[in-house]
Amino acid sequence: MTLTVAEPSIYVWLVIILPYAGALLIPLLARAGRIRDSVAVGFSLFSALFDLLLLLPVLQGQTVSLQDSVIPASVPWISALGINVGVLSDPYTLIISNVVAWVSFLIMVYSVSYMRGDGGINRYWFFMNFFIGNMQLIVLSNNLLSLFVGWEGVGLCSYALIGHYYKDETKTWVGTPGTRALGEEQAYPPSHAGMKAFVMTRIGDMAMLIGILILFIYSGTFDFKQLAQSSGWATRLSQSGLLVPVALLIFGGSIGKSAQFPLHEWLPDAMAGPAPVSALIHAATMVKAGVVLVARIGPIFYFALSANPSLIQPFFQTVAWIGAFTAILAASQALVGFELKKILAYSTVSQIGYMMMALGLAGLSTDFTMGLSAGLYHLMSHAIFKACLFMAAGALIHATESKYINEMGALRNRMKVTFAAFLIAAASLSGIPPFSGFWSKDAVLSAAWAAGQTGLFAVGAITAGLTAFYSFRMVGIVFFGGKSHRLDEVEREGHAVRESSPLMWVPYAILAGATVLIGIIALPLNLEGSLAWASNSYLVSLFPNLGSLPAYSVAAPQGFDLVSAGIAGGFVALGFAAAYVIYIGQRASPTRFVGATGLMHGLYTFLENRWYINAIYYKVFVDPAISGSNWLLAHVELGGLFRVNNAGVYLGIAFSSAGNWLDTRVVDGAANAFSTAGQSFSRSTRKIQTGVIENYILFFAVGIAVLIILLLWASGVTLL
Amino acid sequence: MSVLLSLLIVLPLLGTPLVFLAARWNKRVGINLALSLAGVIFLLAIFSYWVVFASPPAPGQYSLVEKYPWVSFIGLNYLLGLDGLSAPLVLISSLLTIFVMIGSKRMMHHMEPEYYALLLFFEGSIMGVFLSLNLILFYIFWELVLIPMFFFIGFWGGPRKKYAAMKFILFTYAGSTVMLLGFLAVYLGAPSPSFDIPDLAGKIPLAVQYLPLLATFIGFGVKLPVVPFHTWLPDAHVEAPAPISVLLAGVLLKMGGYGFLRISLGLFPQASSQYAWAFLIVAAVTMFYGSIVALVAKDLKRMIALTSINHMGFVLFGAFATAATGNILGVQGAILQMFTHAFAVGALFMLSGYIHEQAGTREIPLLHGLKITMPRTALLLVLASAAAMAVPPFASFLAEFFTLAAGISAFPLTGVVVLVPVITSGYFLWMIKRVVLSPPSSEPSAGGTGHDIPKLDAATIALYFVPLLLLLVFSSLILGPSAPVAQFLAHLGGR
Repeated sequence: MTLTVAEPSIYVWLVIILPYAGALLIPLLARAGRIRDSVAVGFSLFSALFDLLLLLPVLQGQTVSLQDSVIPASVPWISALGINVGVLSDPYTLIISNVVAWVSFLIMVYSVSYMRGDGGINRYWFFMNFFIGNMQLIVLSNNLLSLFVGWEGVGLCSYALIGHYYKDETKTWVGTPGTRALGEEQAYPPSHAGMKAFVMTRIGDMAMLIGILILFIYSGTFDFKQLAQSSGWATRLSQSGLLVPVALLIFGGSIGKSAQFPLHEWLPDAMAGPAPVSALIHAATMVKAGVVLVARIGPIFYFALSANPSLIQPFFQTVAWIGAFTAILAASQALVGFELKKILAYSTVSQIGYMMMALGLAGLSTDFTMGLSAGLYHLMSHAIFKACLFMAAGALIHATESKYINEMGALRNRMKVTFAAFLIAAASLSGIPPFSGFWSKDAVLSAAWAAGQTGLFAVGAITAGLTAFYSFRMVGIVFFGGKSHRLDEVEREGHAVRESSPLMWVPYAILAGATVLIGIIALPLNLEGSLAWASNSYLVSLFPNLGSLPAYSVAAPQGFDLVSAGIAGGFVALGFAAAYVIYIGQRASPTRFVGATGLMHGLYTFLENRWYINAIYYKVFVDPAISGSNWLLAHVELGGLFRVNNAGVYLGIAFSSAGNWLDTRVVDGAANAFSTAGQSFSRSTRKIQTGVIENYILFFAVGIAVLIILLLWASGVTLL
Repeated sequence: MSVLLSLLIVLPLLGTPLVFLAARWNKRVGINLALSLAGVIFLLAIFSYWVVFASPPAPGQYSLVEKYPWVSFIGLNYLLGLDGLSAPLVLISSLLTIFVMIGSKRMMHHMEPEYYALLLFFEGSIMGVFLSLNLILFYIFWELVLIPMFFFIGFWGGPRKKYAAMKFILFTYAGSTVMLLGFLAVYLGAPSPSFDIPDLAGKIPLAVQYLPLLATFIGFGVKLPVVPFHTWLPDAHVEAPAPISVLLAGVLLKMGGYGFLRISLGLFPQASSQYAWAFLIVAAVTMFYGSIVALVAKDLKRMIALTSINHMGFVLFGAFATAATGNILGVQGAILQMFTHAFAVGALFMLSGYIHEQAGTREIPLLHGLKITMPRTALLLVLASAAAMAVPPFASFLAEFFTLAAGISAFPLTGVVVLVPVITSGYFLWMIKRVVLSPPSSEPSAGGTGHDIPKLDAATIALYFVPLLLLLVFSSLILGPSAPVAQFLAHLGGR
């Protein structure tokens, strides 16, 4: 049996429009309580169901064509410039879209319970739905301009939702108030974190904007397919030496949105938002937008100069190395964290680094598809296990009323479901077989191995070891060991720490199940091969003549590379063993290992302070910007320009006063009739004081009447 | 010959004494008369916009032209015309006049007869500026606009109103005098002496273009304003009552942008093209300066005023990007930017006036917790800030997008101005953090303890967002009619 969809383009449009519609309904249902909650969740479900209908043919190895639909897949938008807005339906896009839709839906269900009783629930539902719509717009857009609209839209939602607890009560802060690095405060209230996220990502967005605009100037289009199918722009760009810079500028948007070095510092602080927000926006979906963007422009730039793809190599080198460096940078910071969600945030940054590395590798290896599908694989599996981890973390924070892992402890018996889900997802994150994360990480690392990029492979493998360590450090401290003092205290106050409600744990249990399921079917059903097919179909949808392009080649199917998997597996085992011994078996003391002074302690502080990058940004950019603006205000605006300008004003007043003196003394009364402009001003201001305005208006009315009569008379002269 | 355009000018001017007398007799009657007149004028403006939209005049041509010789020995003709550049501005002026009248009903309780009469007088004269196609007629209306604005600031202003009104008039008057000298130079230098813009366009020899270009730069630059001629603007805004600030930013500043497009680019195209780089630098400096100083502004209204400077910099930037390259996106973006700026900043000014009235202060450090004490006001303030930050779904995003595209196509280096929207979002979000998202102050004297904005007034301010949202989807409403104008200006530059 084959499944087809009768009118697919309307389905794609609905995937985008339904969440927007849900968002618009929320304010109307502001007082409708449960109905409003059902509408919020329901619209995300409908959107996901339509998405699934589109995916069904794809699961059977067919592509969805939007060409002969009654509802067009592309409609005019800015007709003056010939810009259309439309949607895509290739398998690659639909897989990402479905991941977004279904993870979103589960998180929406979770939110019903998590956000119950929250004063800002209407705002929350509005922005969550609005976010899903914008995110689908990014994923499904067929052109850079509407992608950019969604791109800025998700930024706005991210800002609003990070700052959800806008009252900035101390318990909602991210970081421990009072901690400082280089004299800069390292803890932020939600409103500050939201602002930081928005401004920092907007720096990347603006680089992206310039890149898009230059691309538009050279190519005359924003449309991916049109870009792919005309290559003149690429030749012209490379002649002006702008090819790599433009690609990198657009990649700037990815760096900001996906929190890659050097714009990664906003994401850890974005954890000030509610847990489901962190799960949806800052783990599963929005931060993947940067990956989607690279998957869009990467092939276009790669195949555009088909005859000479080496010219674009520096771009892919940069993408891959930024990804790899970010991966190890963030993983190292996760090693020493104590705030549960912040550790997960570092981990997200690090895992997205892997995806970037995969997409960079696409352009560095002979088979472009390999890196592309490895990136997709890891994106998918990470969305699932990281959303699961964040929702479980939310349940833990809810139950223990603390964001610190060292204020939890020994929870494995009291929150069994959460423990099981967290453990599975953490194992998946660590790359332990047979969970999905093992296969997807292996896909990335074996792509590096196959491309002969030993350096990238090494960084990736070491990061995998660090990942296993921090994942099981979390598991150990939270679920094993003894109960923390804090937990005792909480229980003494009569607040029992127990499992969360089913409405909360069912969603993350489902995701934990999914990560197991994917892990089990991965090999028998050749998931990697299917994703390679999806990636290839995507490339074909861009380049119908893909097979004949000189830059295109297909490497022999790799299968499972034992050497690369073995090396990476060794690092993972090492990390896992270390974490097991220290935190689960409790046979070694981490504090004694780090010590109070010395090299290890220095390293520890260095990592704890995020390599001082955050503090340096504040020192170098934020503080000088404010003091510099103040200087400009004091010395240029008020001190310089105002003084000079005011001198002019006072000169004018003085001049008119002098004229006044001259008039009254020398020219006597007659002068009043011919008083200077300045004089009449000073007189009018005097009149203001005495309040005789009616006379003035009358004077004006008469004056205008006289003027009109005069001009009419003049026109009469000309008519004669 | 149609009289539609004349009606747009004459109706409000005739209404001035009528409204004054009616309001003296009965305040309510007078205000309602003013409102209904403004409504009629708005309908006429829509109709005239529709004429231009339905069949945009060919490049260099105008719709609904009215021409009567007037004082021919000085070249003064009564010549009016409408095209894709003036039509949006006429529409803004008539719409904002209504918004301002509605907004004033709550806020202004002082000398109403004079106030509403002067609003109509302002509308009539500003229509004259945008519709005149004769330089002398243009100059007459240009000066006429100063009179009501001077009184608005001087009578209804804040504590330092006299200083601000004086500064306003001296600055703009000085600027327009220089502009007039430029016009005279054009008249003397043109092959066949004339003040009619359609006769002059494309006919002025290059050698004659330089001095008038400089002279008009000063005249329009003061109005726009560009740094360093901008210092009158923050003072005028800070002292002016909120509804007047809406007119000041929404309409009066547009005179500068309009002048640059219609006269600097339209009459001195080759010179503009040659020196486009200098204008682009001035524009970039204006944008950066406006946004950086706004970062540390303490007074909410001053911050918004500085945002105007930064936004109007985009207009100058777009205009001269087109002059430099012939890329029509610049002029189209500039026109769209003038349109969207009027509504985004207009809403912000109304809100600042409301906050001042209720909280007793506009000092950002003193305002606290509006989200809790004035939730509706807070929501509107956040939305208006997003519009000013040029974030989708507000069409201001498209405007900045287009001007930047044209600028980059002229000189890729001008791409650095994309940092301006970053700084802009920085200071708006910082303001929101301090004013909206903070715990309310417990002291009774501190800001943010007033009543929330009434629903009806909130709805009026929400109306400002309608054009902004509409234009993101239907941008061709503006871009369609403006395309021939942009092509004409680009073509004149010879690029």
